[in-house]
Amino acid sequence: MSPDAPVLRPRPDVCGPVDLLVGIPSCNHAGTIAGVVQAVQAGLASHFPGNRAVLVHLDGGSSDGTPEAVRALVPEPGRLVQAVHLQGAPGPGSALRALLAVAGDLDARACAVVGPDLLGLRPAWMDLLLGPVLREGFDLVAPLYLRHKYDGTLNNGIVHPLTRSLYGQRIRQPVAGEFGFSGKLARHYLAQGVWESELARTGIDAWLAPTAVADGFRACQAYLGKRGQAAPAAGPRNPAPAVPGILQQVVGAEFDFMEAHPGAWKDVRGSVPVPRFGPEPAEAPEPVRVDAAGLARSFRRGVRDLQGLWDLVLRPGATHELGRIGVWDPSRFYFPTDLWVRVLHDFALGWHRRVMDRQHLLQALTPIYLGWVASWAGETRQASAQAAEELEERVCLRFEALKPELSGAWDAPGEPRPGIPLEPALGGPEGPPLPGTLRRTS
Amino acid sequence: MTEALFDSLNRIWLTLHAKVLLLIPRLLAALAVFLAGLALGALLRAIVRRSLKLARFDQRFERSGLSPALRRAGLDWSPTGLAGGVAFWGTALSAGIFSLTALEMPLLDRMIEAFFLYLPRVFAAGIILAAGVLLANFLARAALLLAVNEDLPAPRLLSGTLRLLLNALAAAMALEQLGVARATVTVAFGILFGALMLALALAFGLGARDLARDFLAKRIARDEAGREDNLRHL
Repeated sequence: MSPDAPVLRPRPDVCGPVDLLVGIPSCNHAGTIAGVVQAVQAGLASHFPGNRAVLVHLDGGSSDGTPEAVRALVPEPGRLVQAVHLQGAPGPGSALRALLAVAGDLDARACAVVGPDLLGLRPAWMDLLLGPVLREGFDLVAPLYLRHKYDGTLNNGIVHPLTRSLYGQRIRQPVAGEFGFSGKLARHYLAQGVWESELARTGIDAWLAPTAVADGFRACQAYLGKRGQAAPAAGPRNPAPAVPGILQQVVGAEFDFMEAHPGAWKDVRGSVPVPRFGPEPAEAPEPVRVDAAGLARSFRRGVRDLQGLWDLVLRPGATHELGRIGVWDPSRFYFPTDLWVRVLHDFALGWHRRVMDRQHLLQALTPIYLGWVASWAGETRQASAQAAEELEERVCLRFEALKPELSGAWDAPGEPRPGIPLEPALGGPEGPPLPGTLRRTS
Repeated sequence: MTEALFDSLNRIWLTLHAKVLLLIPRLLAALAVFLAGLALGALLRAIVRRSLKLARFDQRFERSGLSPALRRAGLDWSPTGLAGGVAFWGTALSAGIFSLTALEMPLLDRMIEAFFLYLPRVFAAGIILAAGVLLANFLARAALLLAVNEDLPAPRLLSGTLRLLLNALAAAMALEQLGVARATVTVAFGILFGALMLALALAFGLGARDLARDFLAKRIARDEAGREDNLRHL
């Protein structure tokens, strides 16, 4: 642990080693945290009755009585470690770092993190998040939520396919609020030099899975069902980030990791399935409404005003192709998958080569991403969840197929990248597909 | 009378002859210094160009936004060529000035002294101008991206206006540093800036009332529509 790690140690009445540790970070979540704590306690009691477990509550300075609510629910000594007003840079990174420090101090064998605002947390989640670590020897348990096809479009369009193609592990939701991990992985995370960086303040969630799989830790997934999240607490401490901010946190973290560990991904080809635990939920996800026309308008604004900037990032011909799809009729709007993959690869290269300020770079990506979401919404409008998953699989395969272009260009600064091949379907007599139809992406 | 005239002319001739005889070696020395300076300048230019090409200076300048700014200013030179030119002409100018000192003429010496005293101001003005152009480009790009992503009207106009104002401010500061019509530049910039702000305020308040109303109406309508859209990105 670095010398300036947050000063956080368990109370004297909590001594290691413990078998299980569950962390709950919070900030003004008095309205929802009671349900979360009760479900965690019930899950630990019913699934791990013979194991010593401790709850770690890390509060970022709530003013609504959240710490008191947690203390009231866990009165037994030795079951709760609580820290309020976390030190260091504010954000999820400081809470996670403190949690990892406690896990190390208590020599915990299996750990889990759950959100303080969950409405759908069931006691069985404890078994799903901790069981594979404790019983099967896995190091990371990524969640598999039951989500609508429009829920998590950034995950569908960028995070999932990019992470899968880079590290060769098919983790469906690499960035999540809930996950399980081993004590060994906790120590490994804590030893990394990211905790004082901007990444720790904003994008630490997106750093966890790539770090684990790239460094050879065993990953698995667990079906958790619906996540169910309360509306974000109001106030300046919890501002809802806009799309550029989300891209900055998540995609910026992915690009950062790519740059820091090129050896972990450049030579990886293809991907392998990651084991899944738990019953696959049969229920239907909550529907999500999407304003595809509004998203397409955002894309067109980018085409109208940002082509000069895109030219600095994209390979020859790509900006032109973006301009071509930008003029299509909104009802026939379609973003070719290969173009999307190459655009994203070019932005990763632009990040690596610092072609412009990195915040500007991801702001310039925003309209293109929204255009892809509009296209995705149109393509899957009438598709079942299964069909949407099949389409997602094809997107992933194109990411994998085109990855050698990215690997080849990574260490060749200034080398001209192959241009965008002109596809007859783009603007040709065939035109884009009609909305609601699936189309082969290769 | 005639003898006196010839005697006078003879003295003038002898004085002139002596001065010319004295000046010729100085002129030759000055010429030698100047030619050596030109040769040194050409050598420096070659070295600078070669080094900057190896360091991919042009590409870095292009990415920084300074090259487009120079092109917009009508300076369609490559930064490498520009730096080479500065190295050559700077050396040639210095050599020219040093060669003039070889002539040992008091008036020229005073002018050279004044020139060297002025050089720090030129240097400072150049730095102010370069920093201003870089800052203007950065902020104009930030404004453009913000305006596009926030769906503000006329993003390029907004960005271009910001760039123009910041470049004008940098130019005014550079000219003030040079001491060129200090009061005139300051007043002119103040008048220009004030007039622009007043024009924008009048245009938006009077001429574009309908546009403002439509913009706000669309914005409110979009926010309300946004509540119907519960898309979650992550």
